[in-house]
Amino acid sequence: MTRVLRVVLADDHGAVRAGLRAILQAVPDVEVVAEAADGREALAAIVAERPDVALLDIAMPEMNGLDVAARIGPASPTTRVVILSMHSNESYIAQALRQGVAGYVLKDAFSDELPVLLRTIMRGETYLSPNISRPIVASLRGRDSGDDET
Amino acid sequence: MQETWRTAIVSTVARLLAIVAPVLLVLTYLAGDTRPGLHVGGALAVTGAAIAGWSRRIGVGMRAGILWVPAIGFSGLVAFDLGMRPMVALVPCLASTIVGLVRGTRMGLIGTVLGSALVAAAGTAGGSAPLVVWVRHGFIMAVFTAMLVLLVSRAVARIEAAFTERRDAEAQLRAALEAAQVGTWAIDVDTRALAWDPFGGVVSELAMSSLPRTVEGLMQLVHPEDRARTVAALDAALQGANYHIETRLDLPGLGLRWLEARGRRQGHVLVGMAIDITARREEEARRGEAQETLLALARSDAAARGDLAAALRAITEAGARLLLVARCSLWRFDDSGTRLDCIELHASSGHAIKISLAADAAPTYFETLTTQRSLAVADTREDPRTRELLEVYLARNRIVALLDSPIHVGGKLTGVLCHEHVGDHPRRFSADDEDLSAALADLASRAFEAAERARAERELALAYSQLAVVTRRTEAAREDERRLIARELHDDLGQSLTAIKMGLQLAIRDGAPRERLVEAIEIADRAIATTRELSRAMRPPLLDEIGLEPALQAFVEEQERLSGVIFELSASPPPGRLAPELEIAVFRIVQEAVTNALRHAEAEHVKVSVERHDGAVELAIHDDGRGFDVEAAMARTDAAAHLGLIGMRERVRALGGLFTVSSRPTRGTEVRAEIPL
Repeated sequence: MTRVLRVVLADDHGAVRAGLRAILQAVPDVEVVAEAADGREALAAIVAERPDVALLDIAMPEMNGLDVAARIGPASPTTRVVILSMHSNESYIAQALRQGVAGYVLKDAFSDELPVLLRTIMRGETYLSPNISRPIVASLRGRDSGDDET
Repeated sequence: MQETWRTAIVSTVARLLAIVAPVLLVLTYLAGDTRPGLHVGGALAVTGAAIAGWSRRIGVGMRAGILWVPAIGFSGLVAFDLGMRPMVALVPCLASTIVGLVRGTRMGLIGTVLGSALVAAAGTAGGSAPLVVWVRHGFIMAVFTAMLVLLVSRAVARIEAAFTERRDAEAQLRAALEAAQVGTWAIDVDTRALAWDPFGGVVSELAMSSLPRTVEGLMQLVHPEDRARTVAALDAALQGANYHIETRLDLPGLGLRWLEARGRRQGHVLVGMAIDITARREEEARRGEAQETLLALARSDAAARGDLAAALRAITEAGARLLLVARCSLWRFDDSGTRLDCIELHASSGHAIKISLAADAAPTYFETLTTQRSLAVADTREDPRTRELLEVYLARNRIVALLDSPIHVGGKLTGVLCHEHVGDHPRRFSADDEDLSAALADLASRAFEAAERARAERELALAYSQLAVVTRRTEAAREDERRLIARELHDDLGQSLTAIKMGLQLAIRDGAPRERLVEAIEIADRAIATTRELSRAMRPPLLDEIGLEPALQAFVEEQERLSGVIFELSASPPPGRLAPELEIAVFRIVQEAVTNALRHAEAEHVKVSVERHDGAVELAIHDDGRGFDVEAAMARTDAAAHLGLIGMRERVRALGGLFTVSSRPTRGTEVRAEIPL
């Protein structure tokens, strides 16, 4: 991992964004190339910067994180999207996974999980916070088959 | 019977006379008295007595007359025998006899005795015969005359009495028949000739002359529907059956009348009576109609459907029709009980105006109404119970007789149903009329009750639907509130806490530089502010901590600051705290009313007052805004703006209080509530 990872960070909550940036900047070979306070800004930044990773807050004004992820498409095919959320809501996670996001992380665990997250997604795999993958697995076991969506 | 008895007495006396007199005459003759006058007169008297005594064909009057004539003749002949002078004495004797006949037996006897004495005295004085002869003649004359006077006068008196009695009996029978209006009739069985006097002489002579004189003619007068059975019954009666029938006759000059006839055959004549039962039949028909009408009215559901006016209209129409009055009016006390309003009037003619009367104008009248089922007055001009109403109401409507029945609802006198007879002559209402009037009044009270019940049901239904809407909206509002709180908690507080956590993590990693910690404290400060706002939104904090008055003060000041509207708050300092549910209710009502005033009324001034009196809290919120139609607003369930009003009302009611909103367009709005402690 000699190449620098270029990251776009989007969160409407200033204090949270500042914290996230501080955490990212502490990681070697990670560079925050753009920040956004709402979905529209985030999409514009991604299209312009074509980053390796887009960290998108799920709840943002103008356009939420999932909608931004859905619209990136061919404009930046190599960008891996990670959804940041306060919620461990199952249907949000399912929707995010259907959008083909690379990761889904709870904000309060971000600092601890960041190294693992980056390694996982750069290998091309999908990362889910343990705090959310556990209930999802439990829920899937409880069902016979079928959709994630209820 | 009596007649026969009298005849027997007269006959017996006459026979005795006819036997005794010849014996006396013979004895007189043998004694040497050969005067022709005495014996011719005696023979005449005997003959008369014999005729009077034994005749079969003459009545008692004739017998007495026959006795009298020869007696007079006898007296005259005796006088002739005695010469001219005694005739002078005979005149008073005859006169006294006549007086006796006319005046009575006793006077006649006295006169006769005196007369005889005078005859004797005159004869003696004249000296034409010896005293003995005069005394004897006088004595015989006195006895005969006395007997005659006695007999004749009694007979005549009895005859007179008999005639009078018969005449009186006939007159009485006639009068009785006329009074009872009982007619008589007779049909000759052989000739079928008819003699009749329908209604006992009520029919005029002209009409009588045009009445048919045969059975066939009579049958032409019978109503076609009744004719077949009348003919059959009469034929059977002519054969000997009893005759009894009720039938309609079209009588000349009288029109169609109902007659009831009874009769029985006696020998060759069918005799009977007839009475006019038209009135009874009409009464029966009227009663039948009344029953039908009452039943139809009782079955009507107009009042229950909410159409009270139609129900009352039907009742007054029925009253006028069934009781045959020109006007039937229905009156009701107003809510205060001081005024009586005519709310329905059926009048057969002209434009009748519905009016109102002061309830205390006629105390006697109402006193009677409260104690009686109905009040019937034949002549309102004379009756003390209607004197009070004469000037103000009765005279101007020419109501001369009335039949009024009280209308009670729930045991309370609520109104009056009045049957008013218009005209110049009094009218007496029957007991049936009174019953009918009372029955109609009862129907009116049932209509009032049904209408009241229907109104209550409608109000209840409205209240239910309003309550349902309020409940739905309350639920929705609560959901909105929860959503808001959840968002604040998750998105704002949660994010802040996340940011603090990340900041502290970085601080630990970097060796706790001061700027990172300050940043975390700033974020924590914002989170604390958010929390405070959230909790204030959920419940007025001062209310719980300090009390109602400061909480209201703070609320009013904040509203004033935000809206620019001038507020005036007067809250009496409460002695001790109110119950918590009461404090929050007062605060929320003020909050709702003030919000309404600011949001809808475009008010410039708002006055809020909360006063604590004995046992109750009174609050009033008054604004000078544009106002609205309260009744319309309260009756609606759809307009969201008015649900605040209903919510306030329900809140007050739940605490057992009174809630009123008074408002008029352009005159502002006042919300008042009085809640018991």
